[in-house]
Amino acid sequence: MKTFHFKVNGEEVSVTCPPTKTLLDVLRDQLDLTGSKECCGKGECGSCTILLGGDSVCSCLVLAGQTENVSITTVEGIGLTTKMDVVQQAFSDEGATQCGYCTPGFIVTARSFLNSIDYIPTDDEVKTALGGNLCRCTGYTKIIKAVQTAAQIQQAEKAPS
Amino acid sequence: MRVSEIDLVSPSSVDKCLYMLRDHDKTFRLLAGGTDAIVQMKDGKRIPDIWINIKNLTELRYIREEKEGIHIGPLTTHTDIVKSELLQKKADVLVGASMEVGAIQLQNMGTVGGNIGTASPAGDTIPALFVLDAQIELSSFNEKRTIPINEFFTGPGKTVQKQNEMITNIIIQPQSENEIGIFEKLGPRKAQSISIVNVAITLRMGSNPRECLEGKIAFGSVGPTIIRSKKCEKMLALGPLDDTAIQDIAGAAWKEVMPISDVRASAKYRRSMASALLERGLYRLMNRWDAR
Amino acid sequence: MSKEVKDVQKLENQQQLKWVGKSVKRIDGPAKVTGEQKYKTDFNYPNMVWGKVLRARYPFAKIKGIDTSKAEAHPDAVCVLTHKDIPGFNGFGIVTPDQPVLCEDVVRCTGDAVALVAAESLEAAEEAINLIEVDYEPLEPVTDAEAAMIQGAPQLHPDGNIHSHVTIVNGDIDKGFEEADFIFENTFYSPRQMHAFIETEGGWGKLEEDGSLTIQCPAQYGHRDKLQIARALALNPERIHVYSSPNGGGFGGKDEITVQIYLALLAQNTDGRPVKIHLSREESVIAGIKRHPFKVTVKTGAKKDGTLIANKVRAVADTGAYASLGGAVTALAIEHASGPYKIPNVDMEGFCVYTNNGIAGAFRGFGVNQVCVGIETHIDMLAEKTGLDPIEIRKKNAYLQGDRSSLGHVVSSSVGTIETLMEAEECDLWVNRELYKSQVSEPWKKRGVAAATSFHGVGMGIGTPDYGAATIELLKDGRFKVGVAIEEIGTGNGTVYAQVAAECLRCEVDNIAVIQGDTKETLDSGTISASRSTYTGGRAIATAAPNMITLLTEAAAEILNVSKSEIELADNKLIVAGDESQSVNYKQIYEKLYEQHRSMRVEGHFYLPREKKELKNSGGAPHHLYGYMTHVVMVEVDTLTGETDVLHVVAIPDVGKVLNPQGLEGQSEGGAVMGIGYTLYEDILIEEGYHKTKNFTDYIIPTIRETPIIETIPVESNEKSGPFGAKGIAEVVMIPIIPAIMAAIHDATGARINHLPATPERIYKAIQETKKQTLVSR
Repeated sequence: MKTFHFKVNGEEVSVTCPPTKTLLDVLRDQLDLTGSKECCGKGECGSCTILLGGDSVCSCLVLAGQTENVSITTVEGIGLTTKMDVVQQAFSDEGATQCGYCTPGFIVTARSFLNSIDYIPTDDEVKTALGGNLCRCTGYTKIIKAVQTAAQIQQAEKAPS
Repeated sequence: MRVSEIDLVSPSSVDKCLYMLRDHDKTFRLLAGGTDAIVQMKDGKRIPDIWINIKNLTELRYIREEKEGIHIGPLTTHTDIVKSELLQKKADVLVGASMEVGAIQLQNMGTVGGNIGTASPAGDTIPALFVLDAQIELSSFNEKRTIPINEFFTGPGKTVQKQNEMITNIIIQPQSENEIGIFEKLGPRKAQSISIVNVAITLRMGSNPRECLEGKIAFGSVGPTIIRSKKCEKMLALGPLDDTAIQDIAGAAWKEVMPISDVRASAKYRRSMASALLERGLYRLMNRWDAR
Repeated sequence: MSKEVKDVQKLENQQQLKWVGKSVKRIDGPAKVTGEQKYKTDFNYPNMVWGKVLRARYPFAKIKGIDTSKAEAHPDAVCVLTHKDIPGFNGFGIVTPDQPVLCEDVVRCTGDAVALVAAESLEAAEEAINLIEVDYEPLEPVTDAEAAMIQGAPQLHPDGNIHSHVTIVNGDIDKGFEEADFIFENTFYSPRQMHAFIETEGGWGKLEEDGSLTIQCPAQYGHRDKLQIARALALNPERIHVYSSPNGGGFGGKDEITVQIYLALLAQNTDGRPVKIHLSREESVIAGIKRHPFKVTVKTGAKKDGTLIANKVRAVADTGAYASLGGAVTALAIEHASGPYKIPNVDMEGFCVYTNNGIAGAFRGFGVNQVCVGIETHIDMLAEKTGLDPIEIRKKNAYLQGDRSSLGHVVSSSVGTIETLMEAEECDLWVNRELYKSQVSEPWKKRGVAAATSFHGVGMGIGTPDYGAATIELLKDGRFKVGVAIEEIGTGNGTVYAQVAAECLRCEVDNIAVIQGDTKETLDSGTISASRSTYTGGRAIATAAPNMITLLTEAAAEILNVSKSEIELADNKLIVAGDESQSVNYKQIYEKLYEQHRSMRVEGHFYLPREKKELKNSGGAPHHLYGYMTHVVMVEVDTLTGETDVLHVVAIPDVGKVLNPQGLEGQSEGGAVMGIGYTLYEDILIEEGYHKTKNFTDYIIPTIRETPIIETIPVESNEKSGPFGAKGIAEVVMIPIIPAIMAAIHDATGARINHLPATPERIYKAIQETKKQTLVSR
């Protein structure tokens, strides 16, 4: 057991666990942040996606021992029902969530993508950006639309009034 | 050993890391992006006593051009490569290959040093590094040696790297103005796929239409390690690369590869695909060249 | 008929609907996009223990002994259980309980459970599991369904390897073929598709202080799970409380028992400590049910004018080691094997056969996916031979409402096939197909466009209980709690339930709280399967609503001191007819009823209509109601490699009535992409009884990069028995796309792929063979 200090969703936390425990398990079991899901455990599905220092990564392939002093954002840090992020609002409005188990991973990846652009992405650009997230329910059509809608709202909000 | 009992240390410098690797009493494994290493640990394979986490050794994460070539730090991520303007201009084949690794999350995590060290025959960046004549610098606490990439791999998952060594630099030869490259991959789908066959191609073009002065072709996933297609390479410079020439060159490729059958594809199909991907790649390159 | 029932019916017929037919946002959307939605596998308890299942080492072997002593001695083990520790019946299975909870004398597939462990950590549970010593005597596995049927093959079960044999015969098949101008005969092989729900099987078991059991486990029929648990534990079912909603995806894969009985057994042996099991993807691949791989031989006879006159089908389904719903899947396959057509002479039979290839069970489409390719491919071949238009041939042969189907029964429910085909003919992709086909992105690529049509039964068919029930309760704040046991597995049925309730009760959707998947709070309402949940649950709510309106009317009349007949339902309140100033709202009514200690909960029950006469030996055919569908698709094939992209899909379902356009599109888009996965990518490979495909690295489901443009054009045939005219579509949305893609590949390349999935390698090989044939014919 070792103790690790890092930031999750803006708050300093310290966690005591074996250094080989995955960050995903730390988030879910020790910090009660269960938005991030385990689906494949091997980096194939994106359900556990979080932001590590701004980059989207699979938290099932990050070890607790690698988290010292890092800054992490999970889906809960992007927004909660009381104050949803535009990406979350767009996914909800466009019907881009069905069973919802993959959705947190999509939200985090989409947020990271939208942080990196300042225009409304084409279908192909959204597809490249979200290729690492598997969904079995939606057929992805409404997810593409939701990301574009979010980009549009983000543009409008940024535009000088 | 229980996974929960494995220790993890994070050396603060390359020197400290190399010092740790001297210790022969314990098994160490270097942990960079984790996209292969952690998966192996979860599968109960190659479990070390101690993980050496090198993810934070930022001194090994760089892309810069120097006299003898472009230096790429082993901890450079695939995303770093994709975004590098220098590489987009002077190593487009490597950029293309890095874009084909998994998907965004794995490109953010995975490193070029990790891709080399894992030595998967299907590793996407490796054929690209072959055609860019990469030199791999291996360092131990007392020594440094540089290995040409074609001597680096000894079999699937096997390299000349010793237990006390780590990759500390990768030097590639930049493509010149008239040099163009492409990476072609056949996977079961477009994202998150392991190559069934892949090929990296670079061509140095002359001043006449579709005149190729020389070229390099490296196939992945069709043998225990990467296969340079020397016969096809020779054919590249025999005349203008028109459609007939492209078909002739591609038609020769299947004889140079030695694939196996597995759950992803049969050996016979892989052979045919070596030709198909070379044909497709050359067509696409020539279209790009014509339209430049 | 009471006035209230008439009111609701009137409501259903009127054009001005407030909620029904609108894209009401999913009620669970915000919780899902923020990660606040708790799934059963998300819970955590401080004093918990981890459960783990020991799976069989061999696909087929005798068990000579099980030694658990070393596992029990593990310092962190809490309990180790084998078949000896099962208090009740050691078996489960929806129809035939032939699958042991824990194997005693024989294992029949590598997914078989042999022992259970609970321990202080997952790691300790895994260690303890590995310390259990099982003495096996391996047997020669049965790996091919047809070989399993041969006399002398090793027997998996006491009654032999043929679990079921169903037949449907109508007309005179020999005469039909004699009259035929063309006869087509082909054999088709289908993949062992995995549901690949994103949430693997898992959940919690807890023995409560009062001795009752609480099971929290994503599932598709909690009320039935309760009975299956009770049977194994020899426990009064009323002492078991199952929470089974929401699911992180189901698609039929959580219809059968997954881990519920293991959780219950372990919970009885952990001194009240909650026990968790959550399968890794690898264990889910091995232990979870799959779609039945079929070998289907189809022989179709047709006349020059395009009339189909004979269809002979022989289907063999590999159900793996246990029956689960294999018998029903095979029966449904045969019922649908001649398509939504009126072929006068049919002779169809299906075998459901045991092998040692894992376990197969329910999966979206339920056998129809596997058989629809035969008749649809043959119609396209007929079109090619005769030069007739493939859509015209389908229109010519499709039965209408009131016609006799190929099965020989008169279809009295709504039928939208022709309408879907007319939409297909008029859609841009079809009209301009030659133009689109010419727009290939690179010269070695070829495009093809094709259409196919199919259908799928709604509900259970004859012989299986099929009913829905709903409760509506007035809450303190004037809102309504609507309880329907049918689980949320991703379809958004809860949102539709809220819409139907709000429409019937004339309140806001926000004022409806929906409870699903809770065996204490909700009445048994059947499964979330068989395309039945919107239809059944919606109808049950529409049946309960008049009872609530009666209750509200009585109370309003008392409060306003007028007679009941003077009370009228208005938006969010009740008024005295003609005088809006005299009104009471639902909160006031609650207070009145509360004062009087009166019940504020009403029920509605709905028995699905069914045909009177079962076709002899058909296993439950015909259904009363079917959903119909046509797909038009465009593919692009890379002829150098065989890689195939589906570029454009037009999905035309006959939905009866659209209840929620956004939800319908979601089903249609998801179904299309799952159909693409089935046709082009997905297969769990098993060799000699061992899984070659182990996880998501090799099990290829479509990513967002494979998704095409999908247009959904619904056709409304107004099904009288459904809520507001609606019927189920959740399965049919992935069916005709399968033969449509196959036909489009043929249109593009001339190659026919009868062995799915049509991987790049298979397509490449077929193209090469087509080239060879062309050379030979020259």
